[in-house]
Order: sequence, then structure tokens, then C-alpha cells
Amino acid sequence: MRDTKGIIIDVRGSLCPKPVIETKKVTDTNPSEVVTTIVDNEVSRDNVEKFGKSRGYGVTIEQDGKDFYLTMVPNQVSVDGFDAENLQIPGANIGNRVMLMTKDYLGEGSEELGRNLMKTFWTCMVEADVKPSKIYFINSAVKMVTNDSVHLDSLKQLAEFGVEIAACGICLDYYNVKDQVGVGSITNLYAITDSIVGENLVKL
Amino acid sequence: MVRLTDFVTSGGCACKIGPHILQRVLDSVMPVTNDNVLADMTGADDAGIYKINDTTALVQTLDFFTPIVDDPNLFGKIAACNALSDVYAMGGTPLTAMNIVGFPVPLVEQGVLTDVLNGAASIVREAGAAIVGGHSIENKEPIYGMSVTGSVHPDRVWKNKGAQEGDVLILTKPIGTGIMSNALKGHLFSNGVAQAVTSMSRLNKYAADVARNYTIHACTDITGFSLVGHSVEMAIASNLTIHIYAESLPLFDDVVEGAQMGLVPAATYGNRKAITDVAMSDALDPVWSDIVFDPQTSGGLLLAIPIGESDRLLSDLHRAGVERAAIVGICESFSGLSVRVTK
Repeated sequence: MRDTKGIIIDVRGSLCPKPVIETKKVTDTNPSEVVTTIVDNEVSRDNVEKFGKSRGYGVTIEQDGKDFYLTMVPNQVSVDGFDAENLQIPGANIGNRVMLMTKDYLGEGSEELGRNLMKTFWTCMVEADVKPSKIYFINSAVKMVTNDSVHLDSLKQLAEFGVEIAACGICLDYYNVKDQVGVGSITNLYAITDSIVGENLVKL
Repeated sequence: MVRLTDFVTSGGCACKIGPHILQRVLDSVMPVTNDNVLADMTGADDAGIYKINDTTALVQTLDFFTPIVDDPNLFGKIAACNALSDVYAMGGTPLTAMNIVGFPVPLVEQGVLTDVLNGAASIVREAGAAIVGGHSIENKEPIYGMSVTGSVHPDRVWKNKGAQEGDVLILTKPIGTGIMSNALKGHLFSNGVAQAVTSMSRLNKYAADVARNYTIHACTDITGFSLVGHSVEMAIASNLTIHIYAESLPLFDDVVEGAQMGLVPAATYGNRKAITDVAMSDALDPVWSDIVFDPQTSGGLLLAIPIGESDRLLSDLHRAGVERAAIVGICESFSGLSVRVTK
């Protein structure tokens, strides 16, 4: 048994998908903790690594005989002896807020006014000192991430700053624009719900 | 309530013995054949074809696996669809089916096997075939499947061989049942899981019935060896290169997200190791590799059809309720590798 860091999840003897599921349970309830998952086969090693990276963890893998130790470090935590190069460090001016955009205009009242406000809003956001960590787009808001959106340039700039931009897949399907996404990724309500429950949310 | 998938390590076609292991075994076993055999495992076809006379040939196949879903009735339906699929993939019509059962006695006593058999029976009835028997043994992990016999005109067999340069490839069901069955075990991605379960319990009969009105040069069903694996078999048999366009593949919801978070079956890794006759474009996100090598259970038909007929077949399929059918690739002259996957 070698030195391990953080919360230990020993899933040696388990086959996929159990190692991923057990790791997810622990990281869901302890999002800011370092987690080490121990597996004893290559498939589980690769799958847990995928999981860690998909959740923004820096993942290092060490082998000890047949066993693999996957140490997963959340973005904002640094650990003694951990290879900092593998950490995905967010931009210096990324805050911890998550934004949920629910429509393609801002505020209530005139939609025309709301659409103009939205344009200004994104321009200001690009200039803002502290940016949100993630922006989720649901319902008609998904139209803002498509290729012919007037907001595309601003959103692309935000993405370049390191802001995670993700639109709801079902919504893109509903508006028939899934093949026109011009910025960010496609996500699902499961991931969005996960984020909403656990994080510092602003809904617009 | 019994959760069937708790009894097994890998479900559905994801529980296959890896093709690279299997091939070594088959290579060292003496072939037994005669002139009436029109198709056997040497052409990697989906079922055996045996010619009875000039107008009738038998189509014979069997398939069984461990539970891929928790609901016994649904498991029976999926297993039956999966077993019957090979007959449709050869262009045939199923006539009779027999049950193959390995089950732990406690589950039998709880009525689980009854539910499985009733689920399967409903599908066989939908297919217009009859159940004429079966065989059962006691087993620690539940196993269920069917052997199926069908008929086909000897001149109208759909084989892996026969695809021609310029043919368009149509896939009749979305990809991702392997990833979604892992999601099901983890209680994740209920949308994608529901779509996959519906798709797996859908007979390929409807797609085959429509396709029979067209010039089908080659056909296979996509099962455990993945989209790429079965495409390689068609490409080798037809002596050409199959070009798959990843971004045009029909997928269940959440498949990409599921693959990205590591819900990748062990059989995917086995497929990738065994199937080397394929080039993945560098421009593709690595997640596509986990999708195109995903083992399918009760997957769709992959049909090679002349380009002039492809759009009509596609719209006919959509009208017949095969609504996720899509054009996923083309057949090109052989360029060194059997399958190319690009954006």
C-alpha cells in the first residue's frame, strides 16, 4: 500500500461502471476534496480518468503492481507533491458564480427591449473584472449560442477567457438548431441540475 | 423488486468474448460444410444460410446474453429482438424460435423467468413467428436468448459481401446502447437510457420490410462488435473502404456526455484492441472512438444501397416509424484500410 491523498475509494475487484459510479458519489458530496480512486484493471483506470477530467479535476495516475492509484485534484486546490502542470487552472478573473440563462432576452416587459439589453449585457460581461465560471443556456436561451446569433462573438470571447458555456441538448433539438451550435458544448439537464444544486447560481 | 442487472458483471452484447480471443479459437477448429451452405461464419455473416431448394433457404441463428435492464419482461423483449435481428439482417423472415435459458433457481421461483419468457413471446408473436421449444439449465448469472430459424429466397440473401463503390450506408437505429446500459446501472441519464431501452426492444422487422422494396447490396445488424467492427466485416467481404461520418451518426441523448464521464463498457476497449483495420481522423474528438466502438445490443441494420435509391429508402423508413434512420457513410474504393471515420 502506497501513500494516498484525500478521500480513498478502493474499488479494486469491481468492474465498469462501478468504479466511475462510486467515484461520482464521493465527488458529488465532496466537490472540493482531493479524491484517490484505486482500481485494478485498465478499463476502470481509463474510465475513472475520463470521469475526473470531465469534472475538471487534475488527474494523476500511479501504478503499483496490478493496481492503479488515480489522484484527482479539484481545480482550486493544490496538494503537496502534486504535479501542478496537470492542473487545469481557471483564468485569474473567473469567479465561482454559475449563470442560468432561461430565455434569449433580458428582463420582463418588452421583448424587443430585452433583446437589445441582452446584447449590451454580453458586451459588458466580456469587460467584467470577474466572470462567471459557467453559463448554462436552457429553453429559448439556446438560440444565443447558434452560428447566426448576434451574441456569438461575445460568447466566444467569454469561452476564450475560460468561462464554460453549455446549452441544453433537448432545447437545441426543440428549436431544431442542434447542428448550428457556434460556441461551447451541448449538455443535459442532469449536468445542469447538478450544477444548480451545488453552486452559486444567478438565473436570468 | 428484483434488479436483474445486479446479478451480472456486463450486460447484453457487452458481455461477448472479445473478437480477438474468439478468432484464435475459431482458426484452430476444423470447418464442417457442404455445397448447400450459402453463408457461414467464414464470411462473418449474421446467420447461417442453408439452401433447401431453388426457392427456399433456411436462415439459422442464435443469441443469448445476461440482463441489460432490470425489468424481466423488458429483458425478454430485448433478447428476442436481438436474436430475431440476425434473420432480418440476412433479408429473411423468421419462422420459429426456441428459448435458451440459464437461470438461478431462486429467481425462477420468484416468477422472474416467467416474465422474461412472456416478454420474449410477445416479440416473437409481433414478428409473426412461433415458439416451438427450448432448453434450460441452472446458472448463477441469469442468461436468456433464443435460437431462431427463418427462410429466405436463396437469390435474395443480404450478405456482408456485395456492397459497391458509391453505395450509401443507412443505419436504422441510434448508437450508444453500451454506454447507456452503464448509465442505467449507475441510475444516470434517464433520457438517454429510456431512448436506448425503447430502441433495443424494437424489432428490425419494420426496417427490413421497407428495405426489401429496394436494391440492397449488403446488410448487417450492428451488435456487440460495434458500428466500426461490423463495418469492417462488410468492407472486407465487399473489398472496399467504408467511410463513416461520425457527426451524422444518430445517437441516443446523453451518449456523448456518458462517454466523456467514463461510462464506457469494457467491451469497447476489447473492440478497439481487436479491430485495427480502421483509421480515425485526427480532427475527431477522442470521445467518438468510445462511441463508434460501443458494443450494441439489438442495434439497427446497416444497409448498403445505390445512391440513387438512398433518399427514397430513408424517407420510406421514416414513414414506417423507423424515425432515427440516417445516412451515416459511403462505400469508397479500397484505400488501404477497411474503415475510415471522419467528422
